[in-house]
Amino acid sequence: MELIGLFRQLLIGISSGMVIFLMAAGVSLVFSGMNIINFGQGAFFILGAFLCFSIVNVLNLWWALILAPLVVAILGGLTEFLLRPLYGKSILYQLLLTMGVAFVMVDGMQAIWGKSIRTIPGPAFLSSTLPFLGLDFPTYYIFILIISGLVALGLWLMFEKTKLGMLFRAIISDREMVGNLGINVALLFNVMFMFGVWLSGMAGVLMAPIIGIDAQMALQVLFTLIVVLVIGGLKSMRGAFFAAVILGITNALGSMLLPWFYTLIPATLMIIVLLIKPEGLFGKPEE
Amino acid sequence: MLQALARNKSIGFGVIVVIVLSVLALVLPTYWTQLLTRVLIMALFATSLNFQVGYAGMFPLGHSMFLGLGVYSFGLLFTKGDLALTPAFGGALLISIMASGIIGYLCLRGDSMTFALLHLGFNILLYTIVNKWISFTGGNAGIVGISRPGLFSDTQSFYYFVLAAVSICYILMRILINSPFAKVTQGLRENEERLRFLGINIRRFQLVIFIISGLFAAVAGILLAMLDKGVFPTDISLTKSAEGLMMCLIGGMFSFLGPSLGAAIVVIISTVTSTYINQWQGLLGIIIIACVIGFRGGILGRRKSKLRLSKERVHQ
Amino acid sequence: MILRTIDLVKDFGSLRAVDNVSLDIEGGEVRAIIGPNGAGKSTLLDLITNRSHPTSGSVYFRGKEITNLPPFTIASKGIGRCFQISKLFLGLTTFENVQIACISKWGKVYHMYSFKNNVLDHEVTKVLDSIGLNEMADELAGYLSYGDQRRLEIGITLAMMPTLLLLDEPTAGVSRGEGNDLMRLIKKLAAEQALTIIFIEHDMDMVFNYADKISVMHQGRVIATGIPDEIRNNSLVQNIYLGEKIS
Repeated sequence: MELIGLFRQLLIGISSGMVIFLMAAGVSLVFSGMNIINFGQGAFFILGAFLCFSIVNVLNLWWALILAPLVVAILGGLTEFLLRPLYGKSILYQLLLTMGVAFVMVDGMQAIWGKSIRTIPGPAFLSSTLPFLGLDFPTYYIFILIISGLVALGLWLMFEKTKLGMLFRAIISDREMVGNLGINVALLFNVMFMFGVWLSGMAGVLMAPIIGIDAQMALQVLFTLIVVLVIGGLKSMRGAFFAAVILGITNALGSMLLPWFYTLIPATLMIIVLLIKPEGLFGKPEE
Repeated sequence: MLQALARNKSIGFGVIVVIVLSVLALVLPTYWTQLLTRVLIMALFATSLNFQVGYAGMFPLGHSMFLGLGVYSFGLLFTKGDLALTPAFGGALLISIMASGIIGYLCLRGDSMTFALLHLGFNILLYTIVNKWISFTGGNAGIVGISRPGLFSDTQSFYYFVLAAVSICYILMRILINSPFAKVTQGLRENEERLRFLGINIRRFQLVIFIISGLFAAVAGILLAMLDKGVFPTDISLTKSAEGLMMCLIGGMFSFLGPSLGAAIVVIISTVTSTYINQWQGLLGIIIIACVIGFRGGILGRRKSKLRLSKERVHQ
Repeated sequence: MILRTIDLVKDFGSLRAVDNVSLDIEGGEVRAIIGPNGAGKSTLLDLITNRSHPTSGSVYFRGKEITNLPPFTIASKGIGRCFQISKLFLGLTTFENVQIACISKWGKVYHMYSFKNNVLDHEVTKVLDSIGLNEMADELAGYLSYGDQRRLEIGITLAMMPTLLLLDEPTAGVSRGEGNDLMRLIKKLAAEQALTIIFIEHDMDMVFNYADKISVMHQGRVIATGIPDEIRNNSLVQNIYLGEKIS
């Protein structure tokens, strides 16, 4: 039945949207706290996917979920050191530097894993489908939805309930004050950045079994992230969530229902939002 | 007197460069001549970009869209529109100017961050259109079958054609760089608010810079379509935009010829070294990182203080 | 009447920075605006030039309303502004700084060709001479001494040949001697170009020596306007400067 097909696509859309949200949340967090846009987030995502590929060959997906994002996060921490001289400088240099890092990473990944597109078979129990009302719902997408939902929840909890989260919130609202309180802002920045990158790595692991892992994909992922963040508002987690999920749904439903120009919706929305409400749908205007 | 000499020096320098470039094509093997053609075209592209970046202090993050507009409008007018080369050239320029005007007007409505993001957004939009509207643009595979002007079909004579075209553009740009307009452009980079309080309509001014920059990029695009004898989505991609910015950075954005040098470096590394070293992208990445961290002024550097006295009086 | 403001108000949320300021400035007058920090003096200048949008009220320049015009239009109508922190083209030479102002003044902004390397050489040199910075012509503005930078700021603004000149603490940060030199220079150029001047100043000597009239601001309001002697003897003004609260 048509309607079930729609629901299926909706599921796919929401879950991929959730994964995009994780990455977008990472960029948004770093931007809110440090005023830096990590244009290399796409590369970190792919790295997570590649690491997942390697780990799955030796261990299994669960180990990948734990280890891969950590490795990616460490690499992110190193990148943050490189970014230090750029604090407060223009977006141009941020773009160029993070792109430079992305280039190095893409090359490194191709050197390690080769240039061909890698795929991973999903874990056996998850590659099945769940029959429901006459159609098969891919269990893996349900799995993604659950895990990213948990991560998002954990993110929220960390932010609101833990000391680290409180420090993050403090930095976001008044960086200078936090420094004046004797807290090691540089270290906090590093942790914040690593956290943002960790989210990307996690997203990479989650998506790894369903995409063809290709280093050159990093750019496409970056596009999507930028579009999501601009629409939702660069500093707004809520905005990133809604924008990511809505774009995920639009994409999933569009590919099923509309001809080719559904692919233009994200960029067009981005332009419209920038023209009408440049701070993003959920953003606050800067005075 | 000194000024007249300086002017002649720059003309003299230009003549020497053109002579050297002309002679090179006679001695180099075909592969290198083809490469040099690409360098010339990308140098034009990078210089057009630098009008905004180095001279005006703007951040057009998606400048390849104008290169691509040149490429695709020329290519489509030629293949699908069945126009001859010259009218296709003219038509492509016209389309590019109009697009520059519209896109520029929209991009300049907000502050500089909004400009950068809108610019990026338009680049993404156009790239997506080119990639997905397969029936019209050939999608990922592009369209082949663009020819070169009759007399200039083979590699060597086409090189001279491009050399001539690019040289004319450089002469025009050079005249522009020495004009009052360009002086005010630099003022825009240095202190936009001061310029505003000197009575200048900043938005209109930026739009004019934008259109000029887009125009020269479109010319580069048309030449590129002829070089590759086809149109391909990479010509309008974000990667190409980023490459342009890298060329400006590496060669030096505070000088006229800096971006051209950067273009030579980037094109040679990405084409030539890729046959010897597999990791050319990483190499480029490292160079970029080094430039951003260390040598913000690129290879050709920044203006330094003229008087030695002032070193003692550097204002905090 | 060169400048007239009528009930100018600027609110930042619940904070009223400028509170119903109405001023009349005659042509050729040198008006000082004084008052404690936070009195709203700089904000007032921002409102006149629409660098900050007035919450309410209006501004008239030479009889015509300029209240919500874009700042560049107001500037081109003949109002020049020097800022508390100099706004210069730091990466360009002294010569080029003045040159840009002259290019704007003489309508050559969109001239995209030039076969002479130094456009408007004569006009620029004249300005440099008048502010005494001819020797520093080839130096990058960023490397000038603080005092020279203030001079340059004035030079750039005057190159536009404005009718009304707004100066925000012109002598802040320079020595007393240099400050006097600056003010004498300003007053001389003002006389030559028939300028009207409004200047914000904290140094009372400068104020009493060079102003024709003084307006005193406190908490966003103008509480007194008059010739220097009147202001000197005004008890309200004395109270403010001695720190007592005004009810």
